[in-house]
Amino acid sequence: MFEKGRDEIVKPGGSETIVGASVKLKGNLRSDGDILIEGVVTGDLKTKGSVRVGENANVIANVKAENVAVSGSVQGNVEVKDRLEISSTGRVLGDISANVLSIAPGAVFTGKCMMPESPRDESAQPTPEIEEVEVANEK
Amino acid sequence: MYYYIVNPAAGGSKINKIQDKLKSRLRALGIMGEFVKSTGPDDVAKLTRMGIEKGYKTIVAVGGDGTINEVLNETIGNDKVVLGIIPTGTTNDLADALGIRGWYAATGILASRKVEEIDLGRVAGRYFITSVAIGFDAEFSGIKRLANGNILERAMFGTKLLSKSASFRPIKAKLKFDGNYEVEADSFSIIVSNSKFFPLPFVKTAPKDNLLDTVVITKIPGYKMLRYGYLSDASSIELPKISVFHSETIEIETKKPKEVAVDGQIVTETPVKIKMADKKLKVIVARKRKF
Repeated sequence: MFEKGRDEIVKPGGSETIVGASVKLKGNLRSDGDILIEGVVTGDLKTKGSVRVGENANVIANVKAENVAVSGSVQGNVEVKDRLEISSTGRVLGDISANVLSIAPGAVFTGKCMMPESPRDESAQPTPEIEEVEVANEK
Repeated sequence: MYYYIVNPAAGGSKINKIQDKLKSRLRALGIMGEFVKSTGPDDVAKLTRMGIEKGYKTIVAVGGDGTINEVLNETIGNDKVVLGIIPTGTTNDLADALGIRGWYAATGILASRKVEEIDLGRVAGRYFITSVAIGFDAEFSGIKRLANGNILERAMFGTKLLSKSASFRPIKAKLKFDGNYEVEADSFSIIVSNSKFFPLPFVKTAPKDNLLDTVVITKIPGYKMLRYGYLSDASSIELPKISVFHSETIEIETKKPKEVAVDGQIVTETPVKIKMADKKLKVIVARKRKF
């Protein structure tokens, strides 16, 4: 199930940015499409699409994307609009936030996790619970 | 009226074999015009200028990517002129992208006259239409024409390809994209594409997206270099060896100066700055094409 989820997150094709193995990228990578990382990325990563971090990849950056699948190493905060998956070989050292979170057995995660709830109506007053009690008639 | 600029050296002098049939076909389609032949370096540019001065609105490059590049660098900026192509060269990447496969099909496409505006790139003071290459693709561009020659030339091509594959060393390159990020790689080949389509499912080029697509192929084994050079086949190269980036500008530096091929011709050397041009090119295309 986890493997199927990973494939759904990042499908090859389209205007995809690919950082191949043995390639080092440094700086602010901005994209409208998907990003696949097999090499080393240092800096800051932001995209409207999905990010996949390959098993041998090393990312030392904050990541912000629609979906993220981590099978390698990420040192930085990961902010995901929809789905974050950390596979059994994945390591995330940093804070994460996502709408849907999946961490496989064997994954390593060290940091804070935020999963936003649905927005509440702040103006509503709490309704006290009223317990009905039977009172015996006293003569 | 049509103005045909013929590069007789393109594609191992392919035009010599097809010239009569070509003219006959053009006549039958009602698009016969003036034929001129280049006789040396810079001649294609000179002939293009002459055609524009004579008032021709359709200038047809009869040759490969190199010939097209020389024609477009003279026609660009003239909104009234449309480029046509009859592919007879060693590399016909642009014709392929535009859906123009072979000289015979090209004549029908010229007659139907579907015109599109496509992006251009700019490097070393020149416009380019398909790609800029550094590394194996650039060094190989000089011997590729031998592949279409006579038996002796084809034998020479095989020998040179073997020798190049055995001796080629990856190039240490630094690439800067839009001033935002830098990439370092030991590269087998770097191809900055505007409209060169790669036979790789994860590399999607679009000649109208206002972006350059940079493909970096890192070190590959000798036998894959041979296959790549002989068949122009990149499909055997696995994904981890390939990187793809999209940007409007790229600056490329190498440890030592390396040759830079622009639309298949060596034009300059590194370091080099490549960017999207602010002008577009009007070109006759096929209805079925890659974009």
